[in-house]
Amino acid sequence: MRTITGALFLFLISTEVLQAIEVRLEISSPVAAIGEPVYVQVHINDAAGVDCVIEFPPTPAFTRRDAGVSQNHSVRIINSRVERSSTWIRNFLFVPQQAGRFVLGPATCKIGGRVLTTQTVTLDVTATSANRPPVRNRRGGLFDFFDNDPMGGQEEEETEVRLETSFDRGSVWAGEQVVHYVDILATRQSLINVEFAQIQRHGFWEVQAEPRQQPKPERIERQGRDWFRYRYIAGYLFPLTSGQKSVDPFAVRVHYDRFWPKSVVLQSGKLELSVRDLPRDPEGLFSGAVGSFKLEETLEPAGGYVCDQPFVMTLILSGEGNVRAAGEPQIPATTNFRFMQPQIDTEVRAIQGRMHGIRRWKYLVYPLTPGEVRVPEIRFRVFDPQKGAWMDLSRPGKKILVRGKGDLAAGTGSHGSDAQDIPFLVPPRGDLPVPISLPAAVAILSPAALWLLIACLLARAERRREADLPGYARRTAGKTALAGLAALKDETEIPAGVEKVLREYAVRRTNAPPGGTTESLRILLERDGVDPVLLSRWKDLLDQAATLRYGGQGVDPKQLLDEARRAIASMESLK
Amino acid sequence: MKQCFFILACFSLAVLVFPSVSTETQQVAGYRTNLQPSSETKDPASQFRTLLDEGYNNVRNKEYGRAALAFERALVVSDAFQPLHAALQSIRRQTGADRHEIQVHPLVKALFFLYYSCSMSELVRGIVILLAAIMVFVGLMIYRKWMKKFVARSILGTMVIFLVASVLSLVYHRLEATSPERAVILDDVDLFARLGTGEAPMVRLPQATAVRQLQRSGKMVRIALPGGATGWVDERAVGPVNQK
Repeated sequence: MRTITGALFLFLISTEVLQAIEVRLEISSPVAAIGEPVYVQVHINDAAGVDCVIEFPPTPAFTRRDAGVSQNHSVRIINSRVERSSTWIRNFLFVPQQAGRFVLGPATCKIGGRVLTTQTVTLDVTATSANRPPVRNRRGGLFDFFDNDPMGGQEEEETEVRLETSFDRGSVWAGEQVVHYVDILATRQSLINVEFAQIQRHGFWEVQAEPRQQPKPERIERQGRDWFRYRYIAGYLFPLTSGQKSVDPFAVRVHYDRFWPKSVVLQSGKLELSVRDLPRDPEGLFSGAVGSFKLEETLEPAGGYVCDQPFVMTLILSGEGNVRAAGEPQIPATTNFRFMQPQIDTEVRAIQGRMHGIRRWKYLVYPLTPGEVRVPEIRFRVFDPQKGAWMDLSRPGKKILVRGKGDLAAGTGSHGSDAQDIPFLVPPRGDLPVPISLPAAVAILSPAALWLLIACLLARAERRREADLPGYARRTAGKTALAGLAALKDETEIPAGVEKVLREYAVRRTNAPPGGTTESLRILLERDGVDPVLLSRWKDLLDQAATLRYGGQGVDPKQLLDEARRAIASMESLK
Repeated sequence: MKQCFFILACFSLAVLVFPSVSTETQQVAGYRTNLQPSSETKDPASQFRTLLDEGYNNVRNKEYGRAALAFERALVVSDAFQPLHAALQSIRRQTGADRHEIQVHPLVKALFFLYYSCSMSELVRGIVILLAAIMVFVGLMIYRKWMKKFVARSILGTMVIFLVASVLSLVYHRLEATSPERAVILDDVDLFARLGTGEAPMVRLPQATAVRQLQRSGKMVRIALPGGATGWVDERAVGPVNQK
């Protein structure tokens, strides 16, 4: 029993191990014409597949070339079980040289210490091309269901990706700008991102290109097929010397297919460039700049130069090419000016796929001689690669007027008019200019101060009133009553008004609660010390007013009003 | 409340009185030290007029440094005469002395705009108007019983802050104007970094440049430019604006 169990266990282990590494050979097309390239792929489903050594049996009827490495990841979900696999694909390009039926393989793969062998594939090579697009073999996978869909009936073609590298020109002058392009060709517009490996270039001064490029696809044709080309700029190169310069092969990882993202690693070929030497410069004035440039000159300030007072002269070299290689301009010796060491600043940027730059030299210049003097002519020799000849960029010396120190004092220069324009204004004799005259200050401040005073007094009175309301009512009882009587104009309202005023007078004077009877008010007024005669007069008036109010006959209303006024005045006078 | 009014009243009175008093004292001192004996005058108006005449005469004679000195002294007497500022500016532009004026960052200028953008006379005018506005507003607050309202308090606080800032700016302007260190370069003169024979001049200062005198050593004066750079110049080329 133990033996059987052990054998079964070993069998299971061995099958697992044997299934772990699998190599197979695939061919892009079983039929090809002479000279038509055929892609042969060795699939290795092991992580070490990238480093494995692959050997084919001798194939004299073909020329063979390594076409890079790519990687394929796949995920299978079957019965809730996730299986991930990673396959390395080694690409080879076979170009048939003669017609016939050939057997390719088996290829041997050395992975670590193991040697694995693929199956063989058969290729029919015809004498003439059928001009048929190559169809790559498809791997079996989860989505094969769609390929075998009886309703669709058409096989889905995978996106094919290729790599091409080139320079924008085949032959250049030493120091001339050359742009290194990396073209990604794809059969569909499905490119997402491209990652470049380190590129080894020999004999160039390089300016790195923009790292985040988003090239637009262009339709091109290669070998009778339509492709979409994505052109990347790998760098702006400036050959340092003449001769043969080269760019080593480098790898590029291409991510494509937005829906089911895939990536492939492509390998470029070696790129070479022939660089011509510059012609001899007879006078030895070459500044070091190669390209199409222009030279400008500015003086700051534009006028009003004075001996020993410096101005700024700026030389600006701008154009297409490597401005960083430009040396300092040659300034002829002169006794009229002293040029200080320049301050240099440089800017470079890509414009329409070419490197452009601006370099400025700022000189502090001291005029030494007064009078009309000419700024020295600046000559700057560059090599123009388009014309293939030396170019002298020059700025003719500008004539400027330099004033001496004596002239400055005399004010005869261009700025002299400023001081001459000073108007000789004086204030009126005897008056000292003051910021603000005293009457004006008083006129502004006094109303404000007065208003503040009034506001304070009003607030004070208000505060007092609120502090002693009964006392205030007592004090103002007579005044309020007289004001109430004065407000009575209509004869029909007089009896009721008089009655109301007389009662309110008693209430305010005695601080009695409102709504008391006449008798209670009378008693309170009596206690307050009102003369009994006046008190009886107050009561009589109330009675007369009540009589008149209810339509009775009695005194005239106006007479009643006067009597009431007199009675209140008398009571107030005796308070 | 009463105390507040009292303090405010004292403060406003002091502000109104301050410029005229200090002007009077300073102008007398400055005048005695720097003007010709013939121009010894008594009242500020005459002093101002004399300094102005002297400045204009120097402009006519192309002695811009001396003209600038006379104008600076006149400004100490009173800075309310606007053509004087324009004349001084023209002189400095003419001689190139304006290049040595300090360039203040716009942000600093905006923060301290009362100091950097207003002259003393403008500040005095502003203080008077602000004081009147504060009094009117305080009266309104008392009358309408707004003393505890947040908005009213905020407005009053803002006005008081402006008033205090204006007064501080005025005080600082005044101290600066009457500082005994103030001086003007009378003639074009070389500025040396160090004392000693064989020293090469750092720069040639144009006449009318406003400087501060820091130290004396023999016939040389150590000065500071508005930007902070210091150096030594011949004392004959330096005219002090105020007496020490």
